[in-house]
Amino acid sequence: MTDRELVEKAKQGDCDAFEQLVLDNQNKVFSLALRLVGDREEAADLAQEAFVKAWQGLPAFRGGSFFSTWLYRLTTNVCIDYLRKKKRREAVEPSVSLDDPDSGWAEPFLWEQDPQRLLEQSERGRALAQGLDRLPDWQREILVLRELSGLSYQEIGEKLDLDLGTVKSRIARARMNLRKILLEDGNFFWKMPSKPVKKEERG
Amino acid sequence: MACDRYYELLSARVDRELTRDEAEEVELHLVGCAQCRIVWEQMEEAREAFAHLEEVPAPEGFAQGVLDRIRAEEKPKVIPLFKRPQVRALAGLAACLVLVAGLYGVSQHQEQDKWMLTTRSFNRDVVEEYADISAQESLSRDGDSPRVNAALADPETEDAPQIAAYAAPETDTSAGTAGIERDSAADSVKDNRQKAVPDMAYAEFVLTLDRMPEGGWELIPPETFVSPVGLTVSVELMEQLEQLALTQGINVSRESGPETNDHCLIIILDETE
Repeated sequence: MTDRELVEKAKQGDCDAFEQLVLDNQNKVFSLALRLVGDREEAADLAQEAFVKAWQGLPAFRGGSFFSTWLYRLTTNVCIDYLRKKKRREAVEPSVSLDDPDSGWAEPFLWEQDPQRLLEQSERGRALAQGLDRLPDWQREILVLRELSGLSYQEIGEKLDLDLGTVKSRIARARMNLRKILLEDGNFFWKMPSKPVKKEERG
Repeated sequence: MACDRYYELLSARVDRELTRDEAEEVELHLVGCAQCRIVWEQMEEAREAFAHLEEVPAPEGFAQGVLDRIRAEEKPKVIPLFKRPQVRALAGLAACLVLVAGLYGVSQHQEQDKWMLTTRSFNRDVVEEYADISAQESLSRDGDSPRVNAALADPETEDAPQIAAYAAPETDTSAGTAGIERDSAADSVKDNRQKAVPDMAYAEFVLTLDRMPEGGWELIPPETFVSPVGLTVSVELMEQLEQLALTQGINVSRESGPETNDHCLIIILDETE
């Protein structure tokens, strides 16, 4: 049964069809939530909430976009709501962080070091995942919103209540930091700089 | 370092979010700067890898958990009632009445009587039926505050405020109406507050104003949910109203609830405006 057929049935209240939709999309939804909020348990809770909202919102889903795209948007919104509340509770303002604002995880990951090997695509994906994990929360969040949730700068600004300039600079900051982390990996980039990595670029 | 400025432009270039002027500026710079060309390529490579990010498998029992939560949300018997839009509105008001019952129990304001009169005028049957169900809900869920959002469960309105209803701590079946009918509240207010807390589902804050400050209504967006009890607004707006009231010398009092749902109840005591 195609996605479309499943959605049609689920719209009419067919629980089994909806269950199949959950099974088909759960990993993607969970992964997105996990990458946005950084905590497994919280991500599982939010991902489930997203599906519940999808079920409740099915009558309104016209099928204009793909179901998974719509679901992905829902997941993003659920996670953003959570992050906003969390930030309000913690009253953390990234720009006035006393720590090195580029530091995330304290201990470096040890992953397989084989300088001769160029990484396969999935291995690059894995390296990226680990790199993302090492970013400070606020950098990871905004980069994931851009790259995985696919939100425009405008949309990110609206959802996080930031002006465009701030969105732009935070994303750039996140990218440069990620780049620094991936450079430390050593195997990630196809082309290394022809000169040795300058001192100010090294961690 | 001179190229710092360009890194931001390169990042925006990856996202196709450059203005035309910025795009031209960056193109020009890239022609002459090898370092930035490398940074650009690396940014593109990193972004390309996002497409190959491994999917993390959802934990065991995830799908079942989703179905359980769906069933739990659809359990209350009140759902069939709420399918009818007219009753939905009434039920929404009824929810507020039960909330008032709780507020009445913990509020120290003398204008309570006024609220009692207002609430009495509503359809007693709907209130009682609703209160019964709420009471049963709160009994069957240990420690969990019953959350009824069915009345406002229009799934299309993302920001639909969720008025949480609760049953007063007394376990007799007329729990909801008990709050409304109670006359001698004074001495048991303190007790009720302590007893009520575990069962109480609340707004994040309740702001009580003697009256609406000048310019206050202008701040309230048109889609704001207004009930006989008060208005439901965001925390941000609540704080604005509070500030406004304070600068105008209007008495305010703020209570916080256990929720963190960005829904604040604004109660205006003097309604003559």
